[in-house]
Amino acid sequence: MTDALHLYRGILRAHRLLPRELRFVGDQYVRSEFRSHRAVTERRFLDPFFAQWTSYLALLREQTRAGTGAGVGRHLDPALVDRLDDDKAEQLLELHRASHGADDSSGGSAVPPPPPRRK
Amino acid sequence: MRLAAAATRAAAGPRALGAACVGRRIAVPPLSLRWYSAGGELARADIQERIFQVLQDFDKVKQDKISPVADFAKDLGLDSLDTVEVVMAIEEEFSVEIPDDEADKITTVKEAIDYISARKDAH
Repeated sequence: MTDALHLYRGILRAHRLLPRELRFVGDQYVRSEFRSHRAVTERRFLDPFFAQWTSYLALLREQTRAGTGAGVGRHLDPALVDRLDDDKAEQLLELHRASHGADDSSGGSAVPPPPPRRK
Repeated sequence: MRLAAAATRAAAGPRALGAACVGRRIAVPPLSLRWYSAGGELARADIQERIFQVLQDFDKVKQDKISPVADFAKDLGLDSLDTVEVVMAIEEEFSVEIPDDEADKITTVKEAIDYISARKDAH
């Protein structure tokens, strides 16, 4: 339990180094994910959950380390994208459309661009 | 607002502006004078007030239960994830980073006040 809380704290702390808008989105997401897994007790669900968040934190720490300045995030594995069914692929495309223009600087900018204005 | 007021006072003449500034300094001390004074330690009352403010800003806190001795879980109704978030908000409020082993021990308002009081770099 303590390990989970330390992971949670570590992720929220790493998000502090993100541009304001990315931090907001990231905090919301990690909050809802951890909260929705609170009651889960089965190792077969918990182990991959913590493994994924641990690797996310390691990547984020690496990318936000002072001096790297390379921006954050990574591209989706094309092999994984190929395995998505149509609904999931459509959702992903929708997410791409919605987020496009909100952050075209790949997260490296200290001053995030204004939110997109949709017609 | 303040700029406009200052401009009005400036138009009224230098003496008027000076008097207005002095008056304002007495009426509303800038935060920097109260909280960031050189070498001064934070007053316990100030720490408590600011921790209360953090708790008031946190939706899930049972607002009527906030007190100097409130327990985050038993009194304020927070779960372990909420408590992590509250302690982190306190970190940000006082510009300190609390190591995991220390943060784990902060489970009441009193422990938070004690911890921040003991941190000489808190401001």
